[in-house]
This record gives sequence, C-alpha cells and structure tokens, in this order.
Amino acid sequence: MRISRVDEQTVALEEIDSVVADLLQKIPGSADPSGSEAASSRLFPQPTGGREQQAEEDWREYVEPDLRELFRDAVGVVEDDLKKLAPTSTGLRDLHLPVKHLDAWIHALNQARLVLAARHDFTDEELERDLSLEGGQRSFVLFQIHFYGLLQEFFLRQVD
Amino acid sequence: MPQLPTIENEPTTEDAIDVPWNVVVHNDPVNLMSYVTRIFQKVFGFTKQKADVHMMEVHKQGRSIVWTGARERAEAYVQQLHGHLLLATLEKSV
Repeated sequence: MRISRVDEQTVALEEIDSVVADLLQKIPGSADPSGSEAASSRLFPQPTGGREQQAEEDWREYVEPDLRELFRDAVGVVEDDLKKLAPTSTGLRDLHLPVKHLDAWIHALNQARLVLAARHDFTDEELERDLSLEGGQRSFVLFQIHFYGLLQEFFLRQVD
Repeated sequence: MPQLPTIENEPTTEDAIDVPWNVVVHNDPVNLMSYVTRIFQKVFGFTKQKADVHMMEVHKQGRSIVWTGARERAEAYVQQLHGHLLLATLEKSV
C-alpha cells in the first residue's frame, strides 16, 4: 500500500492488496467493545477512579451516552469511507479520503487499537515488543494494532 | 452529533485555588505519544512544547496533572479527554 497526500483536501491510500483491505475493513468491528467488559471499561473509564460512587453513576447516566454517540459517529465516517474502496485494473484497490475525515479516522483507529488491546489483554511488554508474526491469532491481532498505529501516525501528520 | 463541552474564558490555576481539583491523565501503553501531545494541545490550548512535557510525564511517571481548578470545569475537561480516549480522572488537589 502507498499512502500519500494528493492535495489540500485529499489523502490517498493506493495499491491496497487484499490483506490490507481486510485490515481496513476490520476497523469498525474492531472498535466495537461489545462483549468485552475490559474493552468497555477502557472506552468509558471512571472519572473519579471509583472514589465517588454518586459521581460515577451520574457520569454513566449523563455523560456516557454523549460519548457513545460521539464514538459511533467517528466510526460511522470510517464505515462510509470504506464503502468507497475501489478496485483497480491491477486487482489492487484505492481509497481516497477527504482530509476533513481524518479526525474521525484517527479516532476510530485509536478506538480499535484500545478495544483490541483490552479485549485480548495484551501486556505493556507485548505491545512494546518487536513485532513477530509467529503465534497465530494473537500475533495477528498485535500486527493489526501496530498497523492501525502506523496509519494513525500518518494521519496525525496530515492534520498537524 | 453530541459536542464535547466547550470551555470558554478559561480561568488560570491561580483563579481557582479555593476549589482545587486536579485533572490527571494516566499512562496507557496503546495511545501514541504524538496523539497524546495533539490532544493536550487541542483540549487545553497548550503549546507543542508544554504538551510534550506533560505527555512525557505521563509516559515516564505514569500520570500528569494537566489542569487544576474548579470541579465543574475539571469534569468538563475529563469529559473532553475521555471523548478523545485518554485515561483521565479528576481528584482533589489537597
């Protein structure tokens, strides 16, 4: 895959092969914390660290719904953009993203990375270790987290 | 789409010393350092240099107090930081 800034308004992801296309398509699902208490707790942490019961309850009632909607909206932008993953004559795919969508992409990639790390209970050591593709599914998820991080880093540079 | 709370006419730490609450950001091995710096700039209006100092404090010491002042405003900042997926809490500064 090649990533480049086309112009002021557009970033291009080009020559996307099937593996990378699959990783991109997995972003919305990976960002969903459903079924994992650890992932939900990470996306919606306690504002007082559990010290004030009433404040925590109020937060869950009044703040969390807004956060959930905010997160859904960001992932929704990514989902819509991914529908435009266009096949090319080479069999590879291209994706052109409006720069104004990059904040949503940065958020969704971050959310996916956090959910994956929490869901699979990766240790700090595992996350910081050099990437190895040995070890099956767990290694693949770690690769996914790192790949999303690289993409996030590129997008961050575009919005600075 | 819900908006994160906008914080206007930010009082300085000194203005709010009679109701001191700290906004604390905690380390997280997943969030990118460059991302954390950017969010500090965005939420608190920090210079890049100041945002980097707090980001490094979070990274090396596990936490950084990024703002101190009235509780209501501290809660609004924590909400903004949670909106950007940072681990943040508020706590009494004394």
